[in-house]
Amino acid sequence: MDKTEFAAWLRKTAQGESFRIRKDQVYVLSCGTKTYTWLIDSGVLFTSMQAEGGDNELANSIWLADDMVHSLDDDIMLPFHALSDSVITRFSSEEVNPLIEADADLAWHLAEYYHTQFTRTLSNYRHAALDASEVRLAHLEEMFANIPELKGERISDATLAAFMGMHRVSVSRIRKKLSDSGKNQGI
Amino acid sequence: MKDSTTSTAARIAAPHGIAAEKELAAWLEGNFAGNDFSLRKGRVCIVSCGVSTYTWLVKSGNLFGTMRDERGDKELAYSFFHAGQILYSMQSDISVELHALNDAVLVQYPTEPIHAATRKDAHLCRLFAEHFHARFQTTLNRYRQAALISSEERLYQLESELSTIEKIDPDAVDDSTLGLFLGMHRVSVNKIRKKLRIAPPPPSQN
Repeated sequence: MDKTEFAAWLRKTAQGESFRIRKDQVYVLSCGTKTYTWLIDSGVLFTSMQAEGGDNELANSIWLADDMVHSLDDDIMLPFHALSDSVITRFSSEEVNPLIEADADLAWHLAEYYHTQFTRTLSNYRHAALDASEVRLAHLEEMFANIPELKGERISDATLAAFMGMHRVSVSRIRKKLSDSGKNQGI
Repeated sequence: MKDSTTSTAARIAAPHGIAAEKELAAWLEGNFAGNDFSLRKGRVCIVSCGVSTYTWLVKSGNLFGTMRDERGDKELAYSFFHAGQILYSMQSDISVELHALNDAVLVQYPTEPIHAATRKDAHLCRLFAEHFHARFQTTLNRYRQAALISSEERLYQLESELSTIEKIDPDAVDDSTLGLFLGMHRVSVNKIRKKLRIAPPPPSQN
């Protein structure tokens, strides 16, 4: 079962409530076993986490159409940043999770979902700990350039900064340096 | 360091993740035949892990896993593996570098029958979801620390985490090993360690 098949099952099986998020808006949404599971209907968003007791945000995941946002925690508050106009739907986790847990195919999809989250985060961690800022930025720009929904959109310094745990002024400086050296084709 | 604990250890694995690991380990031991491998303290073992190769169970001892940058030059430690924990991957085959912090015994199981049995059982699938969720959260926390907090505080939190591991004395863990977890050179680690012995860092304001 792939994410599109899972999304189709979810839409068919459970009653959801949809929300529109305008580009560049940030919605902080409840996600967890006691609250909601989310499905991206359209658009591109990213979620971030905050440093303990601080203002700095660090982005980790990009969400595209038919992606599910699920948590095995009781309830967490996730900031969703819209990179384009988006529609997302929430489903009651208390209604959906028992159905997933009763079906081997659906439960395996959930295991695959967390495996993907784990390996993706491991890769982000490796880049953060071992790569120079220039390399990380080039990698991020390439990643955004490969998202068809973002074609023609310029990703702001602030967004890239959220993915790098850096200040946007530092990102701007590196971007300029990469641009001057011809390594950055722009997106 | 033994009696110095912070909230770090509590964040390292969610409680449901620990319960799932235990249940998965008991299921593996009870249903499949494996081969034992002994690993002496300080040794590094590169194991094959994946759907078409093997699943591993730590029978005893404490290890940590490392990964490398794309050129293979720099190495980064990302996770501890303790007795009762499993190494399972949904990828076809990956190489996992395991460093033994003390004498350890690993059990190797062919993944194919494990995978076949799991795919038919919703409860086992759910346990694997919890297993990967716990690994995801641990890694997310390390990523956040690497990106947002100072080296001093990261080292302090790492030593606090080590102090919660039975049979491990954090003071006896060398600078190179700690450097692997922080993506830092051992000389820098040594300098920070000396500084921390004099004054622990204030809580992060980030």
